[in-house]
Amino acid sequence: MVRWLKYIVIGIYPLFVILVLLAIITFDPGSVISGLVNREVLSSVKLSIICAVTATALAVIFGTPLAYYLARRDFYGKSILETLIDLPISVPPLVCGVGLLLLFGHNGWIGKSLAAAGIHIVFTLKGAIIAQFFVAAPLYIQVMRTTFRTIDSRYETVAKTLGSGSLGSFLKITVPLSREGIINGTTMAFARCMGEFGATLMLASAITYKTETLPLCVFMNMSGGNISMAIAAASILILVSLIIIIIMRISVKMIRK
Amino acid sequence: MIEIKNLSNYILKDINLSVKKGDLFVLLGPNGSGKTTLLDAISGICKYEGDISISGRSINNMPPKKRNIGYLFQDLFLFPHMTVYENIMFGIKARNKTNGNRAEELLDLLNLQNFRDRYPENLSGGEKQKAAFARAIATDPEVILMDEPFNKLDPATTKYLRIDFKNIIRTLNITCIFVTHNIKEAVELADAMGIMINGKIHQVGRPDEIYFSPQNDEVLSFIGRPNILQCDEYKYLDDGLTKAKCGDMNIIVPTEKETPVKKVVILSEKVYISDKNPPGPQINRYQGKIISIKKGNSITHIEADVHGNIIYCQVNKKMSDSMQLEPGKTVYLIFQLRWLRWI
Repeated sequence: MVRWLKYIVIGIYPLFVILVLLAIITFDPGSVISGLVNREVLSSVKLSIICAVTATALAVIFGTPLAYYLARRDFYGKSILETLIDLPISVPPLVCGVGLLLLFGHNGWIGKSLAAAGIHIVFTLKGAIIAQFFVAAPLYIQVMRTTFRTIDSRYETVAKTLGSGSLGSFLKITVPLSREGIINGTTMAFARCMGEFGATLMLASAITYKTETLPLCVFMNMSGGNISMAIAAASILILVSLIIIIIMRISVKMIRK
Repeated sequence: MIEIKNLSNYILKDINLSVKKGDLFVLLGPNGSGKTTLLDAISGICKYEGDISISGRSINNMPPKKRNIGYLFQDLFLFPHMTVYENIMFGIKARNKTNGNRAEELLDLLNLQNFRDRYPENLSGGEKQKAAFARAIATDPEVILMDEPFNKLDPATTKYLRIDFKNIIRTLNITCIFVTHNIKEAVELADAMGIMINGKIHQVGRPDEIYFSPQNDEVLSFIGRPNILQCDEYKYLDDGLTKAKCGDMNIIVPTEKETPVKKVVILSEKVYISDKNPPGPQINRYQGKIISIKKGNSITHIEADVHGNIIYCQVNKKMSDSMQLEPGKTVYLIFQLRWLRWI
């Protein structure tokens, strides 16, 4: 009895995931094929990938030095800064979107200056990228902060005594030793970007062929009653996520070898 | 030549030290005495006040990468994502010394050719030591700093590596500061040595100078109280041994060739004491009488009279209690050959 109870407890969540996936895939199997040739869905796939790649790249560029600094240095107010950085993870993306809209709107602190320079963020693809960067960067920073903390800083010290500078030591020693963390962090950030909905909807809206990413495509079609199209977009989203996880697992295995 | 003047920081207290070019200087001291911190200061990876110069050139304002100092860390820190060859080449490339032959020479010199493409995780402790040593000297540093490099190795590996490393340092004429807490290792390696306790260097000199005349109580308490015996006569015994007559005691000392033996020294902690005459060859064993006993928390200090010579020895409290040592009791003392020093 106890043995069966154990298997039920262990198996309940995987079963739950399988059931949800099956519910989507089996609802209308033909819709995935038709989705792949549908212009709107294809545009959403393209926009999703552009936004997610760009936002993830921004998270890596701005997140890596920040994570490194937080992992290696102690300074007054560090825990406050860390809490602040982690906040977007726990705040609902919709709320993040409201904040971004107020900041980048035409009367916002940044939006006003940008608008004066002819740069518009709201209801544009740039807005979608900014929203995704804002929501996904904390995940990347969190993973990298932990990764850098696990790498002994004395490797860099050794590199310095051998004639390498600070940047050289970081690039030649710390970065290669952080490969697994970088892959995990980047994958998590990319996956978060691909699935981002609330903040993107608030800042960039869901304008077909312009800002409508895959999750927005699912939502718009679902609310418009076009269930087959929503299922097609959802299935593609699942497929992309699956490919990301497989690539990540293979990469990590290759590094460990 | 390394000159250190008035060096201080959060651990080090007014260090003044001069190491001659090509010398192997051993810094000896208990754990936590500041030995590693001094190496860190010399290599430029920790802050300090005072002056350090190498060959007359002040290096205080230089970052570690410009000091041209090799540093063999206690935990080695071989880069795990690089092969042995890549580890050795790291410093050569970083200093733009595009000399691939240097790495090959060092691989040959340290018998590492078979391991050149291996990653550190696939090396034994001794091979790792050799790879880290090769990496530290690959850039032709003026000075090499070695921080207890043999700490985690078995005695046999330690012994041959010690000889190998010493020969290479001699051949390349590199000035070396070697840190250890092991007195035997220090005496075997050192051209000169310094005793460091609580962030301060208490005595600098040749190993025999320190052995024969510890300068203060701190040095005494670390290296142990020496028994210094004046010798009146000596006789070479042909097989690498000399019999020295110190008062009424005949002491056999290892001398390799016929040399006058004027004084013999053995540290108190190296004198073996027993309440019964132990079995074994009757060399350097003496019967004596306890004059005084001073019991500490864990160590008992004993003074014994052996044929008119006062011999200091120490034994752990448990053993002294089990032997019921007390003043007036007859005891047997043994001087082991390997712990005897002489001039």
